[in-house]
Amino acid sequence: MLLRVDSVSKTYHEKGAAVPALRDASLEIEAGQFVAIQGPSGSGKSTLLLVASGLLAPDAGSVLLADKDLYRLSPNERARLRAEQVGFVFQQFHLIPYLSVLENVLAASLAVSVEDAGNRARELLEKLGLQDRLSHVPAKLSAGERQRVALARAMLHNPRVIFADEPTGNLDAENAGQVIGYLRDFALKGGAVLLVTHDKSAASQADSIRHMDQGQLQPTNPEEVPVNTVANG
Amino acid sequence: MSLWQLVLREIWHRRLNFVAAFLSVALAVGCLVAAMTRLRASERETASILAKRQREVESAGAELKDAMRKITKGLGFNILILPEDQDLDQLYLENSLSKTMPEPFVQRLAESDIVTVNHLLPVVLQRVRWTEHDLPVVVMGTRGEVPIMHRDPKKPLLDLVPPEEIILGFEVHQRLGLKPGDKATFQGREFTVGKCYPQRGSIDDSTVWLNLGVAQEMFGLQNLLHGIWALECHCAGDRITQIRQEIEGILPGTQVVERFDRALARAEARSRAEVTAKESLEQETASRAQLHAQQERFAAMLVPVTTVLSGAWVALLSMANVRRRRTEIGLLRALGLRTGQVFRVFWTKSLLVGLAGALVGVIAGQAIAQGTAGATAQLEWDIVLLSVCFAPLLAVAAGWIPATLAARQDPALILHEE
Repeated sequence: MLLRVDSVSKTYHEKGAAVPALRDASLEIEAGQFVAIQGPSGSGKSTLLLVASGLLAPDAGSVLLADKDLYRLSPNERARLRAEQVGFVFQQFHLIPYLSVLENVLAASLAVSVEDAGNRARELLEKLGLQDRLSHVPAKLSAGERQRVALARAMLHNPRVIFADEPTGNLDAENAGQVIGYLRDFALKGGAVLLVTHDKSAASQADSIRHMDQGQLQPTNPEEVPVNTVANG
Repeated sequence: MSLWQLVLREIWHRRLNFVAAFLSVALAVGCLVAAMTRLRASERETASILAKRQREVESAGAELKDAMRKITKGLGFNILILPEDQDLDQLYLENSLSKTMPEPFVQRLAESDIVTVNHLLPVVLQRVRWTEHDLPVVVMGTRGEVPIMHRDPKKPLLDLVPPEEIILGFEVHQRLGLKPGDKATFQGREFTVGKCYPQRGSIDDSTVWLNLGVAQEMFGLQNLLHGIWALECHCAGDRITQIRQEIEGILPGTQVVERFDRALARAEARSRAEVTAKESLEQETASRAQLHAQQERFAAMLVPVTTVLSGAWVALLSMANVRRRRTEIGLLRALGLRTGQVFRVFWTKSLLVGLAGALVGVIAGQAIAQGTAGATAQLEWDIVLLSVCFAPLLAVAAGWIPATLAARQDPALILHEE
C-alpha cells in the first residue's frame, strides 16, 4: 500500500468554536491508482488532502506514506519525504510570479536533488505543449497553461503520489479534460493520484470515487465505479 | 534552480522594495562613514594646525630669542666681573676702569663648571681723547666671547674685532664722517673702519671698539683685563646672589656687579612673550577640542538615530515582503523546503540588502565627508571595514523577525485559505 490514511480526525477551532473537518476517515491508495474524492464545500475534502500529504497533522489517526508514519517523523524528515515522494497541483496553480515557466517547474528541485533536472523539465513541458513558453512568466499564460506548468512541476521529481486539489476548478472543459488526462497518464505509469474535485466529469476519469460528507468518507458505491477502471475499482 | 537564484529573481522582480531597503541601510552607513571620517579629518586638521602653530611659536620664540640676544649684546652684559678694588664711581661717572685682573681669569672661569653664566667676554675699557680729532671716546678692547668649555660652544655674542680694524659708535662716525672701509688713524695707529653702528641711545654711541690685544698694547695692559662681562640668560631676582658666590669662589679678589636692568626687563619680556604664545596655543588646542567634542556629540546622536530608523524601515519592508510572499512560502513548504531553507531565502535577501547598502553608504558617506572636510577626509579603511560588517548585521538583524515568521508559517493554513 502506497498511502494509507487510517481513522484520521481533525477539528478546527475558530473563535472558540470547534469545527470538525475530518471524522474517523480512512483511505488506501495503491501505486497506479487514481482516486477521486467528491463532496460539497466544507465537507473536509481539502483537509483530508492536507492531512494525507503530510502538511497538516491530524488530531487522531495516522497516515502512512511508503510505509512511513508521516506524523511520527520530525518536521524536517516529513518535509524531505514530501519533497521526494509527493507532488501537488492546486486550483490556484500557485506558480511563483517572478520565475519563468521553466524555473517554476525547476522549483520542485529546490528541496531535493533531481537528476538532469533542466532536461527533464524541458521534456515535461514539451509533452504538455509548453515548449514555446519556457521563458514566459506565469502572468503571460492562460489558466490552462498555468495548470499544465503546475502539473509539470508536480511531476519533475518523479513522485510516487500526486495530490490534486480542484485542479480543474479554474479551467474550461477542454483544459480540464487535458489536465485530468495527464493525471490519468501519471497513474497509468504507476503513480498514485488523489484528486479532490467538485467536477463530476473529472471524477469520472478516476479508478474509484469516494464521497465525503461532514468530514466522513462514505463507502465506495459500486454504481459509481467508472467504466474505465483498470484495477482495484 | 537554487535558493540563491530564487533570491536574485525575487530581488529583481521586486526591485523597488530592495532599493528602498538598501537605500535605508545606505543612509545609516553613510551617516556613520561621514561622521567618523569627518571626525578623523578634524583630528588630523587639529593636529596639523596645532603643529603649525607650535612651529610658529617656536620660530617666533627663536627669532625673539635671537633678537633679544642681539639687543642684549648691544646694551651690554648684565653681569660685570671687576677687580675687587675697582671704584664703581669711575665706571658710572666716567665710563672708564683703571684696576686690572690677570687675563687668564677669563680662561679659568670658562674652564670652571660654572652653571649660571652662559657667555664670557674679556674687555679693557678706557676713556680717552681721540688725539687726531680731539674727540673724547670710550675705548672698548675685546676679543670676542670665550666659550664655556663644559657646555656646547655658544654662538659668539660679539664678533672678534680684527687687529687692523676699528668699529665706531653712532656719534663717533657721524662726527668724523667715517663709513665702513674708510681709513682712520687712532692714537697714531692706522685702522680700517670695520663697522659703523646705528644709534643705540647709550654710551655705545660714543664708543670705539678695538681688538683686545691692540687695546692692551695701546694702554700698556698686556695680559691684563679691566673686567669680564658675562651674560646670564635667565638672570632674574635672587639668582644674582648665587652667581656672585659662584664667581667669587672661582676668581678670588673680584667683585660681581649686576648691571643694565634693561637686559633683565627684556629677558622678562621674552618670557612673557613665550608664555603668551603658549597660552595662545593652549587656547587654540582647547577651541579645537571643543569643536571636536561638538562633532562627536552630533555623531553620537546622528548615527544611533539613523541606525534605528533604518533598521525599523528594513524590518517593515521585510515584513511587507513576507506578507506578500505568503502563498509562495506555503508552496515552497509544500514542495518540501524545510523551515531553515525558507529562513535562508529571507536571510540571504537581508544580507544582500546590507551589502548593497554598505557599498552605496560608504561611497556616499565618503563623498559627504570630503565635501564638508576637504582633502583631509581620507578613505579610512578601518571605517570601511566596520561599515561592511555593520550594514549586513543591521539588515540581517532588522530582517530576522520577518524571516523567522516566514519560516514558521504553516503551509497547510496558507494553502487551505487559498
